[in-house]
Amino acid sequence: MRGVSSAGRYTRRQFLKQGAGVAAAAGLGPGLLSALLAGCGRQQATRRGLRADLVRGALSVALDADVQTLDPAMHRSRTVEAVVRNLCDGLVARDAEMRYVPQLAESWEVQGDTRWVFRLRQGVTFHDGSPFTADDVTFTIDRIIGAIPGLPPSPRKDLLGPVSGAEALDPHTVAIVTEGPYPILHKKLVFQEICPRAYFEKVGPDEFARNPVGTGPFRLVEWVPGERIVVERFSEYYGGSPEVPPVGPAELAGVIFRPLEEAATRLVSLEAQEVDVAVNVPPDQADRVDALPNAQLSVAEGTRTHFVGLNCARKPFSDRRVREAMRYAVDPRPIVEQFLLGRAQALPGILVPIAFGYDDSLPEPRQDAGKARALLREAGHPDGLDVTFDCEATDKRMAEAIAGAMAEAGVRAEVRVWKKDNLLNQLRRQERDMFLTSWGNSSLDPSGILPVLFRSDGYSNFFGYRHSAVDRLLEEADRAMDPDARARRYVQVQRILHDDTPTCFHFAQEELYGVSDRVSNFHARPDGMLPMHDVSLAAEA
Amino acid sequence: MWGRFAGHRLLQLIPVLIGVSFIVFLTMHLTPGDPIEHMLGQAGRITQAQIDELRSHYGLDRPFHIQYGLFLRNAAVGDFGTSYSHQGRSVSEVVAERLPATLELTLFAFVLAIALAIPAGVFASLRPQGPFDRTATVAALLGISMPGFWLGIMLMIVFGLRLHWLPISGRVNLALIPQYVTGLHTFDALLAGQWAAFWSALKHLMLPGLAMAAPMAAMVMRMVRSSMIGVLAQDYVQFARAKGLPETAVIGKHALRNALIPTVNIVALQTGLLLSGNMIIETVFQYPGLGKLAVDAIAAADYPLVQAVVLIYATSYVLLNLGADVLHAALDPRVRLA
Repeated sequence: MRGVSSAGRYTRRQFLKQGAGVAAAAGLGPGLLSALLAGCGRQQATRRGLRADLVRGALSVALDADVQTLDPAMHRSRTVEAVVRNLCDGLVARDAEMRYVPQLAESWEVQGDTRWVFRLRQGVTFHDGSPFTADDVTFTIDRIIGAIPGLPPSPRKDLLGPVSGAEALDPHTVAIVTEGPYPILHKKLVFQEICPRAYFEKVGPDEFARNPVGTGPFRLVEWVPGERIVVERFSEYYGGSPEVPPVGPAELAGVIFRPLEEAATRLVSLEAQEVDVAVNVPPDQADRVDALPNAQLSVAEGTRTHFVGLNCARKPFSDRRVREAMRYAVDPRPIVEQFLLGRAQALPGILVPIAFGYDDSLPEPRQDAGKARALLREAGHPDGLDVTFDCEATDKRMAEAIAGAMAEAGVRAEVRVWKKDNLLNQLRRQERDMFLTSWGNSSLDPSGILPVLFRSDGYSNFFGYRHSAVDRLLEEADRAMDPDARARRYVQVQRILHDDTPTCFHFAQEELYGVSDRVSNFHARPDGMLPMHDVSLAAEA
Repeated sequence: MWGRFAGHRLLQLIPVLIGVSFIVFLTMHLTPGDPIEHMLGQAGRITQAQIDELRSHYGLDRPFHIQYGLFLRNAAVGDFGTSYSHQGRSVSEVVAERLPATLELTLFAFVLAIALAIPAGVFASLRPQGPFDRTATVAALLGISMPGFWLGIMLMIVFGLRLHWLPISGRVNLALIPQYVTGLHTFDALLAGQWAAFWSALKHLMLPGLAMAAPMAAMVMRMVRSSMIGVLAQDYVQFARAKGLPETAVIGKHALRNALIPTVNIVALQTGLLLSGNMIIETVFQYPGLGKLAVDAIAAADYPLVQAVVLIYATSYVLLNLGADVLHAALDPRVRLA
C-alpha cells in the first residue's frame, strides 16, 4: 500500500508530502503578488515608520470623508479644504468668530472699484524653502480662473467670483482685477490657498496633488489614501495672522487625519482615545458624547440651510397661492426638534441668522391648515393636492415626517428617494416639483446662496424661479461697494422670497464635534474648517 | 494529471471572467447614478458643453457594446483604465495600494477560523452532547447568525472600549510601520525582524479578523464535528483502537484525516464568503482594503474601479474552488480528476 512512484506517475502520497511546501508557498504567494503590484505604487516603496516623537505629539482627527486630492485648487470638498488649510495659507482667513483677517496679505485696498491691491507679508517661505512672492499669488489666481493653458479647469473658479486676472506689481505687492465692482473679493479669498509656482511647475499637477507644498503651519509627511494624512509642524512658519494670536509655529508636533466615515467607528475611536477630535457627531449621539468622561462636545452654528423647494415653472406650484399654502401646511419646528433633537434651528427663510444681511423681521414659520386648505381651494384644488416629494436617501425619514404633517392641510405627498448626485442634477434641470434638499453657504455672505438659487440664471435655480425685482436687487447688491447698501437689498430680496415662497420649511443643523479632554484651544467653527495652529495637546498621563 | 486538470480549469476561468465582467458592466450601467453627475457633484456653474466633454473624455458617450468591447480589449492587456473617483489615477495603482491590506486581513481571518474550528470540532465530536459540544454549538449558532456589522461594533465596544485590550481601527502603530516589502505589515515586520511592529500589526488585525472569521469558523467547526462523529464510528477506527494505538494517534492520524475530506470543500466555499464579508467588515472597521474601496467605488459610480475589484473577487473565488477540487482529489483516493 506504500505510495510507490511508478515511471512518470505522480502519486497522491507524494502530492500530500509536498503539501507542506505548497501551503507555505500559498501563504507567501499573496505577499509576492502584492510585492509585484507594489511596483505600481511608487510612493509605497519608501514608506516606513513615522518618527516616534511625531506620533506621540500629534493630534489625531477622525474625518467623516476621505480625500481624493491635496491640491487646493482641484476640489469642491469641505474635508479636503479643512486638511489643506493646515498646509497652505491664503491671502485672507477667518478667525473662529468668522471675522475676516489678513493672513499672507498684510493689508489691502480697493482702487477704483475693480482693482484690489494686496501688500504681502515678507520673509515667508514655502515648505520647500523657497520664498513666497507676488508671483505665487498671480500663479494661484491664474490657475483658478483658467488662465494657464494646458491645465484642467479648477472647480473652485466660481468660489472666487468675477476675477479677470492678477498682476505682480513688485515682489511683495499684487493687484487682483475684477470684471466689475465686486465688494466681497476679500471674503471669497478665504476659499483659495496660495501654491508655489516654481514647485508646481517642477513636479507637475499629479505630483502636486499628492505632495503639495504651501506656507501653512504644517507640512505634509505622508498621505496614504484611505488610511491617513500625516502632517508635522513647520518650524520656519511665519506665525500666521497677527490678528489671531498666538503668532508663531504651531503648538502641536503634528496632526494625523484619518478618514473614518462610519459615525459609530468615529465615536468609539474617540471614546477609546484612539482619536482626539471626531468631526460630524450625529445629533442623536451628541448628548452621549457630551457625557463621556474623557471627551466633550464642541458646537458651532451651521451654515447649510435645508429646505423644501417648489418648482415655480410647473403646475401645480406655478400658482403662487399653492406655494403659499405649502408654507402654511407644515410647521418645521416640531419636526426639526423631533428628528434633530434640538441640534438644529427652524428658520423663517433661506439665510442663517449669522449670515451678512440676515432679515430678522421675517415672521416665524407656523402651521395653519385651515388657511392652507382655503388657499388650495382658491387655486382650484378643492380636494387637496397630490404631489411627488423627492429627496435623497439620507433625508427619507425627515421627508416622510414632513409629508405626514402636510396631510392635515390636504396635501398628499408621496416620498421618492434618489441618490444624492442623481437628484442634484435633476434639480439643476428643474425636473422635480417638490423636493427636500440643502445648500451650504460657508461664506456667510448672501452672494454665496441667493444669486445661485434665485436669480433667473442662477446655476442652482432648482425652482425655475424668475422675478425681475430679485434679479435686479441681487445684481445691485453684487456691485454695491457700500456694505449697508448691500444689506438693504438682501433684506428686500428675503422679503420677496418669503412672500413668493419658492422654498419653505427651512432649517439649519449645528456643527457638532467630539473633542478629547486632552485637547485645548480647539473651537468648532461654522465653516467646518479645522485650523490646528493654536491647538495643543496635554501630555499623556 | 494534476497539471492537465489545473490547466483545463484555468482555461475555464476565461469564460467565467468574461461573463462576470459583462454582468457587472450591465448592472453598473442599469443602476441609477451617472458617473459624470457624481464627478461634478456640487461643483459650481457647469455648462452642457463641459458635461459632454467629460462624457466623451471617459468614452461614456459611446454605445454600451462599444464601451464593453473597449473594456475587454484593454483588460486583456492588464489595462483597467482610469478611476473616475480618484483624481485620474489608474485603476491598477489604486487597487495595488489597497490589495495588501485586504490580503493580510483575509489570510489572518482564514488562519484564525481554521485554528479555532478544527480543534473545537474535534473536541466537540469526542463527547457529543457533552458540555463542550453544547457550548460550541451555541457559539457556532451565534457565529453564523450574527450580522457582521453588529458583531464588529460589539467587538469594538467590548475589547476596544471596555477592556482596552485591542485597538479599534488602523493597521499598525504608526511609529512602527515596517519597511514596505509585501505591504502585509505582519509579513514585513517578520522579514525585518521587528517584533514590536509584528505584535502591533497582529493586535490591529484581531478585531476585524475575528468579526470576519466568526461565520466561517462556525460552519467549519460544525462540519468537522459531524464528519468526525461519522468517522469515529467506522470499523477502521475501532480496529486502530483494538491495535492498541494511543488515542491521539487514533484521532489525529486515522480519524481526523478522513474527517477533513468533506471539510475541504466547505472551507473553500466559506473562504469565498470570507471575501464577500470583507466589504462589510472593512466598512465597519474603516479598514483601508479592497472591500471598502469597492463599496466606495459603487457609491461613486466608478465603473472601471468596480469592474477591476469585482474581477479580483471573482478570480479568487474560482481559484479557491479549483484549489479545493485538487485538494479533495489528493486527499480522497476515491476521487479522480478528469
